[in-house]
Amino acid sequence: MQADVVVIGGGHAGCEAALAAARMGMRTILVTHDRERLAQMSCNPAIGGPGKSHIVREIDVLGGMMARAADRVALQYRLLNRSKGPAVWSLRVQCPISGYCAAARDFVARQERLLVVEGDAMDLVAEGPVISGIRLASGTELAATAVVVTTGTFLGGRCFIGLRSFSAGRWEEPPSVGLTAALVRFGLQVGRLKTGTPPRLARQSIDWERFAEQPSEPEAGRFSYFTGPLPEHQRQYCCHVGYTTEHTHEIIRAGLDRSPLYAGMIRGVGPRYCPSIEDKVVRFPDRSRHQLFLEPVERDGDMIYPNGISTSLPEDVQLAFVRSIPGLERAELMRPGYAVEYDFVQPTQLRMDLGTRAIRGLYLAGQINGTTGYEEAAGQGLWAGINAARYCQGAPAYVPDRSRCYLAVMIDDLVTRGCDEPYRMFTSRAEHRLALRFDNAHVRLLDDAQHLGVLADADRALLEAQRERLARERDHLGKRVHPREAINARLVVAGSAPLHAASSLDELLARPELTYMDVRDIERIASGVDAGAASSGGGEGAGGDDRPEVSIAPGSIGFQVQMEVKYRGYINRQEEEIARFRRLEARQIPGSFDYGRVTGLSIESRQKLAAVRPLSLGQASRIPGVTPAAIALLSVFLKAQPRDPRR
Amino acid sequence: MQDTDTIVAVATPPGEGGVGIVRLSGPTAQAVAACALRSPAGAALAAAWPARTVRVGLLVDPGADGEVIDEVIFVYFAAPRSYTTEDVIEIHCHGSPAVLRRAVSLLVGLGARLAEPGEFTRRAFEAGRLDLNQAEAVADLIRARSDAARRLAVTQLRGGLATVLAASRQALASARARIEAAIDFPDEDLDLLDPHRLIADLTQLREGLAELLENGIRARVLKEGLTVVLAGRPNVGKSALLNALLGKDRAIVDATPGTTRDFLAEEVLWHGSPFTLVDTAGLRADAGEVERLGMERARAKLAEADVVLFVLEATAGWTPEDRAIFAELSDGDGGGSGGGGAGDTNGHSRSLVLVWNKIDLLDTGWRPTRLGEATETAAPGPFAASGVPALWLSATRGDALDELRALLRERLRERAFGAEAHEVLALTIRHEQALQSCCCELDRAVSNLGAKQPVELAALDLQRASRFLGELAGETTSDAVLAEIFNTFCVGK
Ligand SMILES: Nc1nc2c(ncn2[C@@H]2O[C@H](COP(=O)(O)OP(=O)(O)OP(=O)(O)O)[C@@H](O)[C@H]2O)c(=O)[nH]1
Ligand SMILES: [Mg+2]
Repeated sequence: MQADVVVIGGGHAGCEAALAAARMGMRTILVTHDRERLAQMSCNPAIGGPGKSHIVREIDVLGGMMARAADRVALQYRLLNRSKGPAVWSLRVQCPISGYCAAARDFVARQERLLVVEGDAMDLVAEGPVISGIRLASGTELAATAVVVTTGTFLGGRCFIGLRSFSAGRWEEPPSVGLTAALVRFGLQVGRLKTGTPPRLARQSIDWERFAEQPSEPEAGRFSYFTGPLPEHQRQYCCHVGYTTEHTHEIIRAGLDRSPLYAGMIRGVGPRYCPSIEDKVVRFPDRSRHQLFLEPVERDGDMIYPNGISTSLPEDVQLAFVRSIPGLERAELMRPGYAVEYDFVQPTQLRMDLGTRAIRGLYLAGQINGTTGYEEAAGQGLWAGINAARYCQGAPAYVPDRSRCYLAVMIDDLVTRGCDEPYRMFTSRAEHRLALRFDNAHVRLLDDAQHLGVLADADRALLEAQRERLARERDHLGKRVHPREAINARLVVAGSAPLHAASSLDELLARPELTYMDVRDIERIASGVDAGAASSGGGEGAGGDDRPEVSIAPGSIGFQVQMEVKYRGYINRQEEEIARFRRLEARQIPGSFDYGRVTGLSIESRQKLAAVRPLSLGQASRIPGVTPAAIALLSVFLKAQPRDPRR
Repeated sequence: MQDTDTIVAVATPPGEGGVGIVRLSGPTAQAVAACALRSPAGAALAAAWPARTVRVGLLVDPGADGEVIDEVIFVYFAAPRSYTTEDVIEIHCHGSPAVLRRAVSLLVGLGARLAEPGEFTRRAFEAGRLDLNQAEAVADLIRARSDAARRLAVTQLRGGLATVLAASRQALASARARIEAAIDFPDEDLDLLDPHRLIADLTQLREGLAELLENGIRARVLKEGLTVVLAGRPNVGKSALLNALLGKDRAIVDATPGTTRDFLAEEVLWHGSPFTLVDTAGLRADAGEVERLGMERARAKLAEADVVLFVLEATAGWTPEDRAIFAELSDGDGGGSGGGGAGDTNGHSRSLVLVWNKIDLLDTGWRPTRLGEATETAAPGPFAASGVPALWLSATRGDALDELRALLRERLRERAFGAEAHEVLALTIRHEQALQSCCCELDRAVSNLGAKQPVELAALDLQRASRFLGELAGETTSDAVLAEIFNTFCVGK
């Protein structure tokens, strides 16, 4: 069989990669162990959260499926960080695992040019430094121009429960064994990372009364730009909050001698931000309790995911500590928690397009690059799929910079700094956070989507219309109103000072105490007066029909303009920072640059630069261990190189 | 890495040497210099400058009616035959630090940028002017720059800069970690965002930095003198007072309000102590375009002032305009909440003296010496108890001028106090700027937190604050915050 792009792995990264490549016109084959288990949520049953939800929105604008699939099956919506400013509001959606799988299957089945092949990818085939295809365990060879490897935790996967361990990619699924050897043969360096998952509980064994409810917030808005309002019939579910006790911690401490982590069996490094419960108890001995969330795994299913108590203690200890938690005294474990250790490829060996430097046409995406999380994986999959397609088309790689999107922040971090623990997205990783918001992903990326050809015509038109309406509404707020009694009365009602001179609506909206609703109301009053004065009124006046609804629901036009106006000062400050950042990014370093010629470089700096091969002086300056002196030296040699006229 | 701008710096080592060289380099070097250089007779220079020729001339301040700052020798090196391969002008001044500082700030005002340490050498190197075999040596030099800075910090400030900075950066990382963790881990039941604690911590941090800044400024004042700015409404007699203090008719005095359009600076020595007196345009609300420009420049001067003489008319009393100016003068920071635009970057405290002028016209014996008394009828409220010293004098008749001079000498002693005892060396202008910017960002953050603005705004302020602090210490801190989060908090839903 012959394809343009072959994607190995049917997880979140693999599905997005295959869909993106096929959307861009590539004949694409997706190779996976089990065609029924696409985009499996192997750990917590939720998508989104700070930083992560921003990635999901960007995927959505770039034509990916994650946001749409999540909306289609969502069990619960929550708007996080509501007590903070809208720039860091983020959405999280609980999803039923099998429902999400089914949605993914549907997206894949409907995608033209995309073929799913069941099999075990054993080997990668290259002709010299160029990829030419893959070989399955069955012996079948698939020829391809580009190959995207997205094997998640399956590479050399090994699960640990207590002192027992067995090789597996995921619970009851076999690992991929041959591929690591192929990657090593190509000269890629492979390391070990670790992650973990909690035991699963049986729904009817839980005393629900003892937990606090966390209901859905359907008004939080939808994930995707393209899904309409939440349908009536899509029932919403609660999550539940509870706490461990001192007694729980005692049980855990007593079981530590049988922990694979503390017994030194696991070499891989686990994430600090998602520690196992035994890590929490050991590292923070002063805390008398830790929080846990009970999350439904399926719509009306029997399985419950207790978020916050991931563990690799032996099963008897797991059961004992779970039952020490108020409300879980009679809990049954449907399956134990475990830790999984797996191979990853140090991502500094990749270029910004996620292609390996060693072999042309070979791309890596997802957990194999040292990340955790479905969103991070999906984002990389999309990015690698787009770039694999661009490679097949002979087009330049698509690599926007860090000031444009979270996707770029993540990939720049990965290929520049590498991983020493599993990488997860946080909003604090984005230095231009106020500009990279959940609500403006379409403003930021629509042009790119258009240029790449990854959006269906109807979708593109929808986003374009939205963007235009936003721009028009911004213009509209430039309109001036004059001090009139009715207007001033309305201002006073809103707790705001009356007008003495004419003011633009925009200036009114900038007042902290006024909302977009107030301003629209004032505008209505003003246009009523004006219409009366002119004695023949067109009611709302020109363009009135086209005005957005009076709402500041998240995602509405009102929300966005209000946000922009109220934080204008800060957004401008952020733009200054971006301009400063771009000056360094504009100093490009040619791919063929020979660091050996730079005589003054320290050996350490030279090795790091040669390993990472930064695209620009800016990226070079972010490499750990590369000193300002090295950057100064480097800029000498770049002087001889012509500037990139695009920036 | 900008290379299209023109940079300026003092090229000779700091000290009281006979001659100091100010070097300009960059595409607009000649244009900038041409604004500030005149022939010995005071005429503008012809457009074509002979290269590599030593010429004699005057360094003047075009913003101060062409006031002569120094008699100088200057040389023009045309690109590419110069040290940096760019257009370079070297101006040899008489080496007093005050003159050199004035020259540099004048050229900065005319469009040059203050050079980073070692930037001339780096430009020379980047342009390939230096032999590539010297690469190693230059790398050493650039590295030595920060090492030297560190050594300097340790020995000159007796460990003060290094330790204060290390502690400050730690405190800042901790504050940032609390905010960032609250944003990125909204599910955790951690009480991270106690604004009172954050504000208290940031305020303490700011005080530490402000103290550092104060010490540095003290040392500078000891070396270079005190900058005294005269400000107030039009026509109150600022220019007359300047002339009286100088003992010569330097500024134009006229009964028309709005006479002084631009600031005018003059240096004097009183009992061996150096002072720079600055006359400014009168401040008022309904001014024309030119006058407004003058007022802008007056405000810029106020930001540099060590002492502000707030001149008032004894005959007019405490007018509403005076009150507005007073509010502006006593409000150091312009506030930086939500809409925050350009903020006042003045981080150091300046002291204020009220000068009631024209007492010769006064027929009563009413001479309160404290603001509180002067304002009991006209200006109640927060200013009454502020204890700002006031003097009563007449610029034209000369009453109480010696009292004013004595008071200024006293201020100088206070400002420079401790400088000798601690052997503190002056901070460089770059250090001062970085510290001031950092303090300014901290103020914004505190005011944002206090005003219950969304925390991600304060987060940006603190992000910038730590960049300035990082610049000061010669390194940056991006990952320190995440590390701090994971070390301090148990996070992970
Ligand atoms: N009688 C008396 N007149 C004074 C005194 N000081 C200044 N004047 C007069 O007040 C007028 C204004 O003086 P200026 O020194 O020009 O005032 P200014 O504050 O510099 O005014 P602007 O430059 O317009 O801001 C002139 O006519 C001075 O002669 C004083 O002590 N006594
Ligand atoms: Mg005057």
